[in-house]
This record gives sequence, structure tokens and C-alpha cells, in this order.
Amino acid sequence: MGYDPVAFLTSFERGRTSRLANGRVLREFQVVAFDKEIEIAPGLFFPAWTFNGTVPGSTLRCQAGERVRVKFINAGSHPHTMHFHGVHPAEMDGVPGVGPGEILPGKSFVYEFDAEPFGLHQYHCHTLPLKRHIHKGLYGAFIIDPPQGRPRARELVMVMNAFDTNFDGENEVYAVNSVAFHYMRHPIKVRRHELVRIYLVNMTEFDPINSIHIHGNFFHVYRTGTRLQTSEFTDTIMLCQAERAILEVRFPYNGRYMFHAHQTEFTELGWMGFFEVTDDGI
Amino acid sequence: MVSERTSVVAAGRAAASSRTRLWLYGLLPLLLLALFVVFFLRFGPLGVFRAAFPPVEELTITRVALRPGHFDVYVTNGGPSPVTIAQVLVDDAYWNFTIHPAPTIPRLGRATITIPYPWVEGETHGITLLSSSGITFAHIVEVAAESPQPTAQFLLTFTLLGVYVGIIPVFLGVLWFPFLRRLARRWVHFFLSLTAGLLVFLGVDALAEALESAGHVPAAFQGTALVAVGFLASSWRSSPQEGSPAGASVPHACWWPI
Repeated sequence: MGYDPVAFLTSFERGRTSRLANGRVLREFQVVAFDKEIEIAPGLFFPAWTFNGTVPGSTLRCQAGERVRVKFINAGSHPHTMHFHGVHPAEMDGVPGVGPGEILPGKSFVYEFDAEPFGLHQYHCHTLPLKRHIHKGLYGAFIIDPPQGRPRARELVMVMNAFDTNFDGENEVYAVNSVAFHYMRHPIKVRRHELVRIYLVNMTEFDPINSIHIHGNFFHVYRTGTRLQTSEFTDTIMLCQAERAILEVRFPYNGRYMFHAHQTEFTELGWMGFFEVTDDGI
Repeated sequence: MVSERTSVVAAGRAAASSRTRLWLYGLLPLLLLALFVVFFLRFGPLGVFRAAFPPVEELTITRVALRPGHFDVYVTNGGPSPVTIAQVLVDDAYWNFTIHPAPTIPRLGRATITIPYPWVEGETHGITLLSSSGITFAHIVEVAAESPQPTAQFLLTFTLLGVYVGIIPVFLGVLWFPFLRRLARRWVHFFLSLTAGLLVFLGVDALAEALESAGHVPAAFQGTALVAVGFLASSWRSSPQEGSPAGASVPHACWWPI
């Protein structure tokens, strides 16, 4: 029933597909914005605004070249929009004053565009005040797979985010996928030698940057996921807000490997977890 | 005789009816007030307030004691609604803690939070409590040092301090009396004014400190009013003491509220 950060890692919303007259694939999603109180650390509740009831919202996934149709329903208490990162006509940009502009509570709109370019993107609400609409939880990952696909891997979605619980413009909780220290208490299980692909998005509000560091291992970086060639082989990368990267790593040894922001302040405020590497990955 | 008795009865009746009227006048406003309160609670706008506003959380950190390897944080809930402590931060990092008697502190309730932490002697530490709704309550330990425990040694030290500060100077002052008696009147006036000024200064300073402390008291206990009442009560108590030198009542009145 409730939100499970472990299940969220591997949950991909692929929508419903059909064929258009010209033979292209039409992929349809439905996203509902509504207010919901979420638990961001044991016993600590945050009055969030959500896409589809979770923060981050559902990870929407499609393939390059498909026609994407997103039915957005605003069941929240404030006007919202869905602003996708990607290439699309201006009226589908989901910003106030352009095209449909803000979608008022009780109203809906269908955003429609071609899925391009392939890579790792995100969507978020673009209603003003922007800071509040983002930090309240209105964002999610948006993956456009390359036409030929990517090598088989264990795929994990990690959205770096933070929460300002007392509304003073500074975050009290940092995490990936919202819940402080969740992957410390529930390490992410992976198999030794298997290819692990991390879709990493930074949606942290108030702080200019965030980062990830994986202990005892190095990963290949595909910035924004728009090239199939790796640009970097490292163990730490930094992303500013809305930047994202695909990381690929193989763990050669069994055991527990920590991963966390390498801003120690964020680490100790919740952005820290474990990979648990075993022979069978269970 | 008869007419006399009648007049007595009449007078008695008149007295009785005036007493009834007195009771009536006394009780009628109270009765109306009770009716008004019932009406207000039943039909008044109070429900609107209850429905429209989120609960107000107020928590006062009354004391932080530093023990070897841990902090003891004493809190009082001076707000109108219960507060649940969900998480504890020390120096901007989440930290394990235990709370007694329970994480939810009722109105005017108290709790003690124990946080194991390797605090550093002489350095500054910040403690922040997060309620279940994410409201923060912060306290800064300016200079970390182990809190003294009430041992016999400690009591003895403070007793001696009291003797040094409160008793010995008075005797020394009394020893000065034969000297003062021989001085010219204007010099006596000078020393008396000096003493009175000093005492007034101490009084004002004590009152200022009392008001400052009142600011740290949970709002529900009305710290400022408490100081004012204490000050006035002690002034009133000490002023009728005749024969005592005028100056003596000033510090007495001022120290009283502390």
C-alpha cells in the first residue's frame, strides 16, 4: 500500500502502447497530481505534493521515436504543470503562460510529443513559485531508451532529493528516493559481476549541487545518457539541479559497499545507503 | 408592642428581600456568563479555528546536560497540542536517541532525551529536535563541558562561596562602623548614597536577569508575569517591616523573584 523505496528502484511505468495509422508506436501515460503526506524518515512526515502519489513520481519510460501522450490530471490543491526535459513544441513545454499554461485544480491536459532525444531526462512541475512546487515533491525521472536498447543490466532509478520540513529554505532531510537512510536499513541487493545501471537524477532543491560516491568500486558515466560511449570512469560525480547521468558498474567482490553524497553534510542528513553484493543477488 | 413587633418583622422582611436582591445581583451576571460560554462553545466560531489551523507545536528545551559520552536534553511542551519527537540532529547529522517517558509529549508534559554523542570539550555543539511534522527545535551548547553533578563536594563549594560573598563582607562592613561614626555628616551621606546606589544597581540588574530567564520559560507558564508578581509580592512583603533600614528592603525586594 505505502511507498516502498526498494520497490521504487526498479519500478518503471511503461504506459499503454498502440499503433498509430502511420505505424509508429503511441505510448500513453496517465499522471495524477495530488496532495499526500509522506514519511521521509521514521516518524517524520512531510505534507507533499505528488505525481501519482509518490515522491519522486512514477518513472516514465519509453523508446526514442515513439509518440508519447501524457494525460495529466490535477487533483491537487494548487495549479500545477508537467514540464518535460526533452525536445518538444513550445505549447507542450508545461510552463505558465505558454500553451495551456497552468492546469488548475480539477482540470486536466494531454501533453503530446515525440520521444527525443534518447537518454535520461526528468519531468517536474513548473508552476510559480517554482522552488516550492519542486521541493514539495513534484518531479520524476523520464527515460527514453535508445532505439537499439542498452545492454541487459540490473537497472535502478535513483532520484537525489531533499526536504525542507520547517520551510526555512534549508533542507532537514536528504536522500535518494525520499526516505533518509532507507538503503542503510535495507541494502540494495546486487549480484557479483552483473552489470548494474543506475539512472541518477538530481532534483535537490535549495542546494546548488549534489553528488554520488560509491565505495570500493568505479563506474562508467554516461552524462544525460544521450551518448552510448562512456565519458568518464570514476567513483564520484557531481550534478547540479536537473542534471542527470547514467552510471554503469560491476561489483567484483562480495560484501557491503556504501554509497552516498560526497558532501558529508548531506550524507549525515540521510543521503547514504549500502549495496549488498552476493553471488546470487538475493 | 404590637406595632413594634410588626416593624421588626417588616424590617426583617426588608432585610431578607434586600439580601435576596444582593444574591440575585451577584449571581445573575455569573449565570449569564455561564450561559454565554455554553452558547459560545456550542455555536460559536471556535469550531472554525479548530478546523482551519494546523496544530501549533511549541517545545522548550529547558536544559541540556553534558555527561560523559552523551547529552541529556530536558524538554517541556508549553504549547496547546501534543508534540511527537521523530528525529534528533546533533551538529546537522541524524543521531540515535532514546526518549523518556514517551516520544509523544502531552501539553505541559515533560520528557528527557538521551543522545549518545562523542562531544568535544570546549567546542560548540548544536542540537536540533524534529517533531513528526518536521518542525525543528534547536539548542546551542556554546562551550561543551561536563555538567556538574550535585555531590557533597559541590554543595560544600557553593556553601563556602555563599560565606565569602554573603557573610564575610557584611561583618567587615560592620567593623567599619566605629570609623564611620567619627566622620562628618556629609561623608556619612556620601557612603549611604553610594551603598543605596549600589543596591539599586544590583536590584535592577537582578530584575533584568530575571526577565531574561523568563524568556526561556515555556510560554504557557507566563514567565514575565511570574517575575512581575514575584517582584511586587516581595516588595509588598518587605516594605511594612518597620525599623529595618530603608536600604535593606531594596535588595530584598529585588532578589526575591530570582
